Amino acid sequence: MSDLCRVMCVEDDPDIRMILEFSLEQMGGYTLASCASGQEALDRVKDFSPQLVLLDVMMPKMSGTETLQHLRAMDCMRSVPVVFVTAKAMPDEVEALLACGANGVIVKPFDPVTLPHEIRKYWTQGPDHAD
Amino acid sequence: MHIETPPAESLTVLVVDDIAAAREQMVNVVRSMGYRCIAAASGYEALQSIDADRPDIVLLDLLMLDMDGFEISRLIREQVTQKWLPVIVMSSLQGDEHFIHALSMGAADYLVKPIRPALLQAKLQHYQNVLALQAKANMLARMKDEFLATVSHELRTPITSVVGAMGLLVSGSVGILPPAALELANIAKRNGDRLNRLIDDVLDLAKLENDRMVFNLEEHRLRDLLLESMEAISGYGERLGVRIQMVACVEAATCEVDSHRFLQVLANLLSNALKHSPKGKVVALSLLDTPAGWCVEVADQGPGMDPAFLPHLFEKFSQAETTERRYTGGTGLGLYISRMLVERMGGRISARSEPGVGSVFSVTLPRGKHHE
Repeated sequence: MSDLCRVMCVEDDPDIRMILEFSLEQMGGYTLASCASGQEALDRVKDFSPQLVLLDVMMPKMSGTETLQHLRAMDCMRSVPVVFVTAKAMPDEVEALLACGANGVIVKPFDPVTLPHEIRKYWTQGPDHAD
Repeated sequence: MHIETPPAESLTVLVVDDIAAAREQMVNVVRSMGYRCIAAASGYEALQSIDADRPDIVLLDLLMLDMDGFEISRLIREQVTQKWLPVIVMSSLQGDEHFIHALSMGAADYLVKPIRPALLQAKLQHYQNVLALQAKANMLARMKDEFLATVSHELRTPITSVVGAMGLLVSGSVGILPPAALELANIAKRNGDRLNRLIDDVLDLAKLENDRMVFNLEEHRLRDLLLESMEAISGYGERLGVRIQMVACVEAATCEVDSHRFLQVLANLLSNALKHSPKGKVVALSLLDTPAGWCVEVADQGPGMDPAFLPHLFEKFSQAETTERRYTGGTGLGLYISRMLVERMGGRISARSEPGVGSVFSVTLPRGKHHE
């Protein structure tokens, strides 16, 4: 069984994207595909073949929930864990996001120091991680 | 607020009378005024029609065979909780005692039989105006909720960047900072965190004060929630060098609470206790069986509070002046919100304190149904 190494993050805010890069690439040592929109994520997902996806919810053009639907419709993405990273953190909002088919919700502001470790729990929880 | 009377046909009137002739006559009068009108021949039928047809106003004969108008007024008030459904009772009885009784049972108004159509029309128009005002107020409250949710989301995006960047800086993962720079970065980080807590608190406050917070009440084992709250805050305790210890616990205690909101109260009390404790001390958590219900106590060995401040502890924006002038990073809303949350879940919160010895915060909750 291979370890978690390829992480894709989708975030429209460039500063938050840079913090994710610092956190996951420099501190966590993951190979990161950093996408600025849902469309970019859909375009890159086949080549990159992520083992875990971190997805912002409120994005222009294609929202995180729409992006998730498109991802889940792809054969290669059916069982890859997808975790929302969002400021929509009210209990009912979190429940609604999980009901969309995400594997977890990380609340903004997140801690970039502990994030590399935190995302591992979604990886091991993934239904199929023998790729 | 100025309000225009909506068109008559937008109002649906339910006429309830068990005498067919009187009922039909009333329906005709109401329809001739341009209102939509439906009819029910009994109290039972009326309650069904209220469910199915959703009338805006009810004209109810007080004297009927299956149940009297008093009982129906009361049942309507029980059945219709989501909105206000004005009930106008009608009677030809002498005196006003029965009208007073009907009003006390939940009726909005009354009309003396035989009814003058002009007076009936004036009353229907009046209630239509009141209902329109109420609809407008509800819409404004909804817009305010949406506005707050949007603003809070927009605020959190820059806070994520500020707090995230500062967190990376102070962690040393991008290089070791000189001590003075580290101290400044820590100040920025702390206050970013505080800004984020303020957003949470202001959102909670707006919902609580407008009675718009939804509580998902379920029977929970209190011990499990206490352990969860201890676990969640243990990292903060470690950083401060203060330990939390469960010193007493009624294992079987259960209670109907919203677990998320109850954990929020515990987090508030425990973090207060931790930050007011000297390094190396212990915060004692206990779950006790008392005559008033289950009692959760959080006791610290901190400096204690001035007795003069205690009565104001659970008020909005109240923060004690500490002798140490130690930075606590509070918002002044935590205990006020905790009090409102506990009270909305049917419990009570209180505090006692002795300067130099410490403070004890207690949350008393009603016993759950299934406790052994």
